[in-house]
Amino acid sequence: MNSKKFILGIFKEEDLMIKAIKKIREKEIKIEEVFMPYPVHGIEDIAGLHKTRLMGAAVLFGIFGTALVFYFLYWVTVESYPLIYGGKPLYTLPSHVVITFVLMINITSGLSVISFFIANKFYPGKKADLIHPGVVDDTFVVAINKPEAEDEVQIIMNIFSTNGATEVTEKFVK
Amino acid sequence: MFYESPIRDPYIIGKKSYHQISNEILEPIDRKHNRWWYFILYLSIIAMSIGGYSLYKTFTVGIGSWGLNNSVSWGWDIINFVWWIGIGHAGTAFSIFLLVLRQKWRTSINRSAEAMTIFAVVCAGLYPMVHMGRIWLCFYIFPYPNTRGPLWLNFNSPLFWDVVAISTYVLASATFWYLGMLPDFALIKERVKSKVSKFIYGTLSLGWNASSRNWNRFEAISYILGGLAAALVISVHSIVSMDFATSVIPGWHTTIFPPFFVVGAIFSGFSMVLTLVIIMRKAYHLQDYITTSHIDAITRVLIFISLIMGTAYLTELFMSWYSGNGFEIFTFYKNRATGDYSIAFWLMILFNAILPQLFWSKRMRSNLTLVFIISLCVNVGMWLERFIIVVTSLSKDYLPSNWATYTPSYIEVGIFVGTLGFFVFGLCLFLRFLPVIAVAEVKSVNNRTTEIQEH
Repeated sequence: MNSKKFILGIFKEEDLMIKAIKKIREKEIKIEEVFMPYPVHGIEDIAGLHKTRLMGAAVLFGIFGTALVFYFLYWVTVESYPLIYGGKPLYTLPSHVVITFVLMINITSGLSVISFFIANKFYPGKKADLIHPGVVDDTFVVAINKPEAEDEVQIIMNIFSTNGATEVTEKFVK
Repeated sequence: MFYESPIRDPYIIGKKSYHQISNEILEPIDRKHNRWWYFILYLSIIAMSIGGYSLYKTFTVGIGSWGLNNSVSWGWDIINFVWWIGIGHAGTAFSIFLLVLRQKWRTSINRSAEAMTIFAVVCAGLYPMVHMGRIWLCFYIFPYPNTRGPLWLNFNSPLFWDVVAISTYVLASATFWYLGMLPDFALIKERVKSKVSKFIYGTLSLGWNASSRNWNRFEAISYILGGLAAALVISVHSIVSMDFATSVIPGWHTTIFPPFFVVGAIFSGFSMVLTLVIIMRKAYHLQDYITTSHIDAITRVLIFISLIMGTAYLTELFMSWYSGNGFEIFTFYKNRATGDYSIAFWLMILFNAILPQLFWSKRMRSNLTLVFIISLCVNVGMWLERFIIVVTSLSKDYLPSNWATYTPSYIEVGIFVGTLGFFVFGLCLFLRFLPVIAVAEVKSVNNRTTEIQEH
């Protein structure tokens, strides 16, 4: 979220929040963000929010990891220091599959976690700027960019108030 | 005419608000613990000290201080290694298998099961390092460019596969466990009063702000790590079984070992979770979250897995006879079913394949004392299974002049006691300082607490 003024609709129930979001979307008003104490499935589709590409990235990391480990094992067993075990061929693909599989998991999970941290801008010591202290406990918050026109502001506030919001407020977020 | 399935029991008993859920689950973090917690903590520290002294003797005197000999070259070290790894599969089974299968009842148990996994796998990981003898040369087993050739490892060996698999398993499980706690750390940070606690939990929460972007990525990484770790469960314990299956020892060299070990690992993991969860729900008054339905579901899974274990035992017995191989027939019928270790063998059959069948009865499943006792029996039974596999086959293999018996030395017993102490110590700290139930996930399966006013 960029620094601006937001209208916040504060709810205590998931169902009420979803009803309000649907009414907001009917008016084709863009929702900036939704804050929840637990994940609500399908909220990105209902509210028109950003969806992560982490899953696709994980597949690419897996392909990269597999290729890397296969090449590493080839280089080690054939080029760097070939060792003969019981007269078996140098490049033993079936037994390499085990190491490749496990290291692929290692590489994929490592790169995925790093991507997760970068995408969320997480780091130790980061100060959590909670839009409302209750969002980690029992409060749902819908944040909409405050429009210029006052009547649009009234429409948004009205939708929130008439659809179960316990509080409707404005907040400047840096 | 049509069977009507009964309505599922609620995941959480009682109409609880989200705030009430936070309060009830996080209450242990807010208060000082009672004398029992300190007593168990001190006991675990004493046990770890015994383990520490035993390790000191092992490193300074050598593996000769153990009860191993030329014939029985693997004893309590490998038995305990496999036992701990098996228990370590609990968290993955509960958390990840049930996540992938969309089972919402996992939400009350997954956090403690994952914690158990971490501590169990760390205990397991000690053994491959310690049993080498010269632990200060342990870096030899890591593949890195070195000035000894460069001398690489035998990538075809299950002993090296173990190193990679268990390291990966520890990392993946620990990461999954920690990332799952990010939302709960953010919640605890808002609740605690002291500045030090706020700082620590705030640092651990990494700046979590509960936005849909955070949650969307959180769910994505959960499924990614979950999918990967689920595959790891199968592969790690198959690899551990290959330590035995790729040998030529009678009773070891059998193709049933990989699935047999994997199923056995999940079995021992589930039973250890059952043991801990029954204690935890009573001690921390979490009966509304870890309900009798949860215990019922776990015991039903135990019946199923116990049947598989029984089938595997019968298969081994049948195939050893059907093969006509004299050494295999001797190992199973003369060395295990009768012979020096027959008591351990039949206790193993009783605890693993027969006792859990009592859970077919609803009355038995509802009796928590009985469930607790049977879960302990299964834990012991699975240890006996690894003992039977390792010791009986090695003590009497192909050459009778090499036959030898095995008795663990007090050093080996001390190391095992130390690992038990570490496990309990870790759990004590977990119960004191970390959210024992996944608060955010449990809220997502909560019943609605307010009526929606229709406009």
